Amino acid sequence: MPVELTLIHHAARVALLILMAAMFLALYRLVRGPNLPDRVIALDLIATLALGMIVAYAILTGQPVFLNAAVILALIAFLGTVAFAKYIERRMSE
Amino acid sequence: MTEWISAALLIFGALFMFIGALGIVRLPDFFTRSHAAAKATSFGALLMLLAIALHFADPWIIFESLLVIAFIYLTAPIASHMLGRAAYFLNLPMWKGTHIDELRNRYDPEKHTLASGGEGE
Amino acid sequence: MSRVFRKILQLIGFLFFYLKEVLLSNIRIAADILTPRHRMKPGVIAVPLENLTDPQLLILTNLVSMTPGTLCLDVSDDRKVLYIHAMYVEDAEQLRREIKVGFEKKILEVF
Repeated sequence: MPVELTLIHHAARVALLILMAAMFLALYRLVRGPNLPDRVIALDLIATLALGMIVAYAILTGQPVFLNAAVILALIAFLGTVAFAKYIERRMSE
Repeated sequence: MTEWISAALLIFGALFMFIGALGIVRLPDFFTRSHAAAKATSFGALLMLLAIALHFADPWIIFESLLVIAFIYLTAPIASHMLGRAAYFLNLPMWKGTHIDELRNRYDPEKHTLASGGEGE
Repeated sequence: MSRVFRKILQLIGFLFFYLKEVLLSNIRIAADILTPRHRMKPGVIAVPLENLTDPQLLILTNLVSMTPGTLCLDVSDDRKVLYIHAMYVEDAEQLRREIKVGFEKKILEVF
């Protein structure tokens, strides 16, 4: 852990704050979203925002291992979006 | 010097992600929203991953973040393509300013195939 | 040997072209989101394609999706037409030409 906060730590904190604000916007769309695809897009966006938060947090704590979590999150988010898209398309043909 | 660059990359990455989220809220219909989701947020992720690669400057971290960047840039268009296709099958309304639509009615609703629709049609 | 070398140079050139397009596209989309919406003129247009191999098609669709104002929606089953959604369709013909001359020709040259 850093003894004193340097420039990059302040930057990471500001980035985390910005991402948190963005997360609220995405949540708004997730709750409001008039249709299912809108919600899926908001969910995908939330996963990407979480990836950004992990990166900022890894820099803040000086622990690069957190990047592995970001890799997994990117994979899962893509699979989830594809599965949702397939589901929406199939459900229509019933 | 590298500290300044990676701090700037971090902030700009977060800002681009924020702009993407703002676009998701502000833009009027699904298709324009997916523009914002596909472009702005993946660019934000690219900048932030470059920041972490520069900050730790470790070969494995650099490799890993480049891998994630490549993965995001390969998959973002695919995700938006599949969602756009699903949105067409749902017949999602388009924004009233949409003045030309050459894809409408080209999908086969039963067989899920897509015609190219030559000049003769 | 010199052919391999030239190919590598072309690939690097293409990578820089791609990065330039990505940068431009993000400045444009940021401007779109931050300004009032009534300036947009979205539309879905069909772009005819040449005979492209699988990797060429992947790179073209990726490039179109990541560049300013356009997003790939689908490719027809016989691979003759690419359907794209664009933010600004002032002139559909001109947009079609931009994609064919600006991207497709370049990809056919490099890959």
